[in-house]
Amino acid sequence: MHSRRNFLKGIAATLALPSLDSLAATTARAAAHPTRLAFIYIPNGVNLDLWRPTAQGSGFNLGPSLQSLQAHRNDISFIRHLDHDKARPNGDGPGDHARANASFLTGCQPRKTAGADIRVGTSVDQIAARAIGSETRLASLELSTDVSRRSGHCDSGYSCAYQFNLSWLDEQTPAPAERDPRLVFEKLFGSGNTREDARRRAYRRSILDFVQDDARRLHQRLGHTDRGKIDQYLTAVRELEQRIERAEQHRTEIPEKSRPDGIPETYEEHIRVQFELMLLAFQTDSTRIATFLLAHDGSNRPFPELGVHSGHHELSHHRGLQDHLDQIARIDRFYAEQFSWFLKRLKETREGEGSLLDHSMIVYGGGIADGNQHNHDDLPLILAGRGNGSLNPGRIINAAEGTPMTNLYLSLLDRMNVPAERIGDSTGRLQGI
Amino acid sequence: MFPRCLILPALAATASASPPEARWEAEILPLFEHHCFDCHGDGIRKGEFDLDRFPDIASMHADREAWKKIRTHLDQQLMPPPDEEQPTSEERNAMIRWIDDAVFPVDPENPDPGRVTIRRLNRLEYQNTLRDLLGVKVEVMDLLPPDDSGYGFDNIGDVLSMSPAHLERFLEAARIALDAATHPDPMPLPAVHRHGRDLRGPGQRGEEGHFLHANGRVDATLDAPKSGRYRLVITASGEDGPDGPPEIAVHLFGKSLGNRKVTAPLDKPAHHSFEVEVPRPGKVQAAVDFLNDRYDPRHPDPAKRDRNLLIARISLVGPLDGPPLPKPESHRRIYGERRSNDSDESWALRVFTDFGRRAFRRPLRDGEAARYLHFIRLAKSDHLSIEHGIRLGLEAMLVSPAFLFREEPQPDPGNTAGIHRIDEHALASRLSYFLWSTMPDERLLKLADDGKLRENLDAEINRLLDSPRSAALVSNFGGQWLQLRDLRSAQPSRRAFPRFDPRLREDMRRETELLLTHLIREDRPLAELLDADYTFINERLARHYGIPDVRGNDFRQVKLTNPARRGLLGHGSFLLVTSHPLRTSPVLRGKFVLENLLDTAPPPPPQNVPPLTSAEEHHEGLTLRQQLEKHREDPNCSACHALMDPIGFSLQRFDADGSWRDLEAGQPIDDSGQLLDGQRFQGPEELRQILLSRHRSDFHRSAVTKLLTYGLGRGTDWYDKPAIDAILAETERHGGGTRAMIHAVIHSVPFQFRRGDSGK
Repeated sequence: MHSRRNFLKGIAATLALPSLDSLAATTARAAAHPTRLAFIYIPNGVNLDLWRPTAQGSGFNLGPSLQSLQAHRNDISFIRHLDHDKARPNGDGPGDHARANASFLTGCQPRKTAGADIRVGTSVDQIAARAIGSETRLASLELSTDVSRRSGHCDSGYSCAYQFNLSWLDEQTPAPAERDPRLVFEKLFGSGNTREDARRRAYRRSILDFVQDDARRLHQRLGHTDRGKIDQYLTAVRELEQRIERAEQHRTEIPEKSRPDGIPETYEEHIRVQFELMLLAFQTDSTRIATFLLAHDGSNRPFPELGVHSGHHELSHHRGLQDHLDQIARIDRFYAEQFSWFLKRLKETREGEGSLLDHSMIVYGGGIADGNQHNHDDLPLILAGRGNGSLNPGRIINAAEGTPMTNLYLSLLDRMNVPAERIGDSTGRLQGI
Repeated sequence: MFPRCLILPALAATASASPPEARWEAEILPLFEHHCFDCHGDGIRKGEFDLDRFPDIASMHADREAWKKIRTHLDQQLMPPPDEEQPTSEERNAMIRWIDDAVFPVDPENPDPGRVTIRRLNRLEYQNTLRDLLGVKVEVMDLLPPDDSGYGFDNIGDVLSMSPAHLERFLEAARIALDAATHPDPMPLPAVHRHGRDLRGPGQRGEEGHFLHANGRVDATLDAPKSGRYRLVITASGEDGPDGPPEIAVHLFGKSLGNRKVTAPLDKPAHHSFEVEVPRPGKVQAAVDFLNDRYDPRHPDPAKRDRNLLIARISLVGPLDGPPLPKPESHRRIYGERRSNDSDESWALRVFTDFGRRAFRRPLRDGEAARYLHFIRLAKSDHLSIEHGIRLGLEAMLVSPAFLFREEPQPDPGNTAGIHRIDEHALASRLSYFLWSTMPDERLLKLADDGKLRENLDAEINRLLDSPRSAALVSNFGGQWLQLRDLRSAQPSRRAFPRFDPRLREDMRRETELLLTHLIREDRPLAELLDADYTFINERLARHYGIPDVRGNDFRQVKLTNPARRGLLGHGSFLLVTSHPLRTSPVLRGKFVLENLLDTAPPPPPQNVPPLTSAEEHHEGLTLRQQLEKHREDPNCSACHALMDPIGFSLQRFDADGSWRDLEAGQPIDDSGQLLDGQRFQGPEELRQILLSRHRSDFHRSAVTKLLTYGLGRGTDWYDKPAIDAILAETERHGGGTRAMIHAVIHSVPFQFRRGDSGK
């Protein structure tokens, strides 16, 4: 507990240090302030009546569940009528939670299988990582605060890979998210022993170079599907080699005081530490792309600390019961408070003339609108930040009904200077955000 | 694979002489037209499903997934819907039989063994394998990303992926594991240490050592193994006084060795060494005097007002001409002895060959070990020792795909028609990862080297099952099949169950594990999982169950007098993982029994079930049972819930925390149920009797399917039916014994053979 508190305090202290400005300055290509992109996922839909804002002149009134966002109302927009058609059955029958999770960033229909031949699509964050990831030490950062995996079957005949992963490196390979803050920190900044880390990198490079040959030989001895697995391995080798190279190019000071020591006990603390690490990664320009799965869709986490003793998923099938709807709203409020805290931290982190939030684009939402109906249209969605002046927040943005969510993503990629023609089921760009 | 109908005893399948095409036209298509086409044919696509797209058998083969669903819906009487005209049971069975013959034809004479996708070690197997390979226990599992599951298990080749995040952690884990197992640097000389808190003399002792706040002497007795030159080391630190640091005088056998100034700050003690002669083996008396205590409260620098001394440790290192400490045993096992005529390379080659054989679970190929000499040369160019070079090679081996993946070599990997018996090394791995979740031990490897594993297979299976390592089968297979792993996250609400002790979750897991272990060890019939008249409990669990006279934390076998508790359906583990935090769930309990015990997974609820949207429709006064019965009035829901709910209802006297109750919300509990065929039953005992008398073979089929899935690392499919039938027959021949079933799984065609894969 001790050092965890220290961690949060430590970060505040670090931020006060002028050294971080110089630190940002030492980063190559930090010319203007880079635009950061993040996606934060909330599971199981929301209590829409209390979540959605009501229009008020050119602005809006926040719904009761989102009152914690009051202070940020000029930095966020609500976008209405964005759908995920690929989360719908489209002939595949039940499994809305698995599909909601798998399609959220891919916009692709996950192939219904419990194991053989898993297939969905490259997720928007990984499309961005591929294009501009080489400009930072880490191409992207994947975070989670989900519970550890349960045994047994996942949603309705879908492999658990769909329901537990948000980011997909390619259509067959999920990018696993890290839930241990200590390991996230190490991934960002190393062990703390710079000399040893450098020595390790050199040996890793020779080891990777060497085993690549092993893999190629093995590849030739295998049948078709097995080769696909070894291809994954070879891709991983190449990616790590590049990561080593980038680590040599982009040195950074290590905010040693901020090193966390494991997974905090409470959910709230866990979420906040992960948010802090995302902030730190952005602030030090260690990466510009991040995803954060607060919990997988279908998560049945109870929230006894909020007086919610039933599981979230169980409650989300509320059948119109007031009591259930109230409890869902309590969970919605909890998640919104964590998000609000993150926005506050981004805002108080100065960068040049503005704040980190001014230079960010943060998508906060989920793949199910109402948990009882399992519908995937007009999804709950907030877009926060100013995207380096490219976004115009503080509004309700009404997209045309039936607009694919991926149209928004495509527009965000434009602002990251990532060339992309399509993402999953996108049909064009979402204008006027 | 395919369950017989839960309710109707399957009619004996009589093979029909006429070809399937002819029977389709004459006999089967009319049945489909009559019973199904109103909604699913002639251009009507209710539920986005129609039969028009299947003009011939070839088109059915092209979409077997659809036909699996059709078969399930017929078999479990989910279609036609209950409010429509039903086919007779003869008609229903004729349709099912035809589907089996025409769409899923199997030839028991030429069985298809299927294809297992190359398996990456999952993180549990990986950690176990490192333990056995290196001879040290390392906790690296939590470093690795969690494994996704498929078909209910986390060891499925198709699902286990390899991302950069995985490979990065495998590199890290290999380093950590080798740090623990090897010691490539020269070993230190032997030493005996006396910690400061164990010294004699005035002052204060604490975790940091022995504090002296005033002049005085501390002393220690140390053991010298033999006579000779030694080094006496005083590890000390201090706080400065007005005129400098503390000063000590060091004595051996009462004779002064000299004085030293202790300049190290209090939190960073430093060493002070003296070379000494020990004339004979035995006790050595060492003493340290604090000479210059000084206290001046008025000194201008507060840091220099009080001179104090801390002795952290006194050590005796040597003999200085003697041999250094031996390398750790794990290091010696891996590196072996360097022979007098060994060159660096010949030694390294031997290490790589031996280690590689165990790491890759097969003899190395020609030139394979020699490639790793690359790291010896690399170390040399970096001015590192040969032992460091070897260590780098080992690290590379531990991230090589040959280690991380379980390759099963075959002569014609790209030929889908080519069926091939897996070689003995692959068999040894299948065996040990199935039963032990780890690499083959030396005996298995040796048998495979000698080509003698197959001829000793049954003896080896028994040896592996008799070993304590087979606990891995219980915790990994049993833990996922019976969802025992989910107990960790099962949380009966503290508000609703204030007396529930969270430690019970672990006890409940243990109870079921011990029963499974017992069935395997003693080769009891697997059916005892459902009706054993004994169980394994400790005092806490006994109290929770209301069983008297069990004392203490140890688990023991106890005879059950209350028949309701017999078997898994009376185990807290099952009752807890199928409950919500605040209440029981008859649906989840029914689903668990169907899915995990009867191989009859009910299809998930149909899409777009109209939910009870308004509060008025939800009758608050109703019991859970009444609510569910209401739900079943909807024909969309009734078919499946008629299967699941009665099972759950009969278990309603078990509360959500696994304890027994007579009332639910103050009302008496109705624990009766009715099956589709109208048979009524009541309570857990009668449910159990029905399961055992009428669904024993379904239960066996379920267990076999799960064992095969877990053992192979792939989902079973229609072409596995002959293999599963053969395993079931073999099990029955041995009275339904648990071991017999495991033996039969290992002897089965899919476990012993594989076919090629062209990607088509």
